[in-house]
Amino acid sequence: MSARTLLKAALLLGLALPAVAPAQTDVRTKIAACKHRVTLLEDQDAVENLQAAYGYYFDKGLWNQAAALFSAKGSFEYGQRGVYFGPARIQQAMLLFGPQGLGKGRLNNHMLLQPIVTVAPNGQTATGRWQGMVMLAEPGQNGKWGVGLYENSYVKEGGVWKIARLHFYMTALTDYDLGFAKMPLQMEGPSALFPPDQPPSEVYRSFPNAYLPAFSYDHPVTGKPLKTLPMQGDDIVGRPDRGMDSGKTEESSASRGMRQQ
Amino acid sequence: MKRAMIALAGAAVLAALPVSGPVHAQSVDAEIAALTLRVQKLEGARAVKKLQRAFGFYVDRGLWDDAADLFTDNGTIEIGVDGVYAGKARIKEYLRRLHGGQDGLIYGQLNEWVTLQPLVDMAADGRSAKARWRDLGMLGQYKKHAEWRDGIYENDYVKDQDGVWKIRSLHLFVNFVTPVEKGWARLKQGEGIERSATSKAFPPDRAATGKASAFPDPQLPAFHGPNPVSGRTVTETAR
Repeated sequence: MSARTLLKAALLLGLALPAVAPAQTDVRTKIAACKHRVTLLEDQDAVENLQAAYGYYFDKGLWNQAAALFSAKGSFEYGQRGVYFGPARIQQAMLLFGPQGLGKGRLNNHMLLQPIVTVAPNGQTATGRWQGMVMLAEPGQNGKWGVGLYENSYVKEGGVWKIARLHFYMTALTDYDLGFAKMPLQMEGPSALFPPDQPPSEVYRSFPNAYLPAFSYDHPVTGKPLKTLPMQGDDIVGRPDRGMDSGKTEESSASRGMRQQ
Repeated sequence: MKRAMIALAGAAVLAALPVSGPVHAQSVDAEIAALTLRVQKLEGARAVKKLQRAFGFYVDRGLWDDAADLFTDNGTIEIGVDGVYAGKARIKEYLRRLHGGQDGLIYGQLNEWVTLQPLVDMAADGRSAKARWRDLGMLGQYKKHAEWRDGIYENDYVKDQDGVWKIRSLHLFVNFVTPVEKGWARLKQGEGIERSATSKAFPPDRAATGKASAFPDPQLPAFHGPNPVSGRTVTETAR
């Protein structure tokens, strides 16, 4: 077969296929790419709904519903109370915030605001940073205002998004009447009645100490990870993540604040 | 060898074409249709959020006409224990009277309807949606009074016949309105919520739905959708 016949054959083949085969593959590739992008958008919405639902359940003391949102190995960490693993333990730990259904005179508002949800490119995991204003009340006590932030992670299991890790960092808490400037309150420690599975993963104190939890997402413009941050935790009792002697290289805002007093 | 391969490939393609061609085209159409519906639902969720946030911004500053125009012709609004107002004209007049009877706000009137934490569930066909929102109200009048309000919205939206998303029903379950100097923790039973003077002077079209409860009693507006992980209906009611 000469080059000419080959060319002829190729042309014939080309004519016989009215540009369908290459176009088909092209369309299929485009659809697949589009489908992936749509799925990632759906994932983001699903994660935002999931976290909002958690907030609504937690507010009203629906511990069963809130705990059911966690994956089997999911973890729950609130302030300095330590870490609880798995829906069953998490549901029990939530009783530390009041009885199921809250009951009279209890307010447990934990707002979930300002989300930055980052879905991994493969669509199987995600992270979320949320702002969390808090309004509290319990019988026989004055009301409290609080504020904090969440650094959470999520996992998609069997097509359903679940909470893999919820970590609420209370950053300030105060008496309703006196306010943050006059009466900052400190967080509860680990419960003696129902001890956590692990101690707090980060030891810090809330306002007036300044503490800044690491960011789960990279800077959206520079692309830099924000993991090394200026405001350290608490080295008064030693940093569990650095051994008991955290050294003198970095002074925490806590000790700096105390030195200045 | 090369030639043989080309010939073979050509034959294979030619042989496969008559069968797979139309089938492919059909499934491509079906895939694009399915994908289009998913995109419409994503767009719908965003349209619903925009609607509700717009409602907040309009009511904040006394744009009653614009707020009422967000509703369908038969749309309804229900706030606290004031009862249900139906239709744009009634919604507009109710909102106006509730805020002093004028367009816009007056000097010293504080009226922030902060609307947060959307939980939006789209219907499978992408033509309607339901959403739960959190309400944080900062209300008051300079030198006279100031209040905090806490509440939850359970609202219903529809993509109307004109293709525009609108509010079909808005229900704000008020958990409490409390004077700022007093705070929520000193509220006694029955103090957290009361029927507005507007509702008494300008009665609603229908009485308030359901039993009203307010802080310090536990309040739990029913959830429009199931638990997103268990998939089961949330059946708990306030204790």
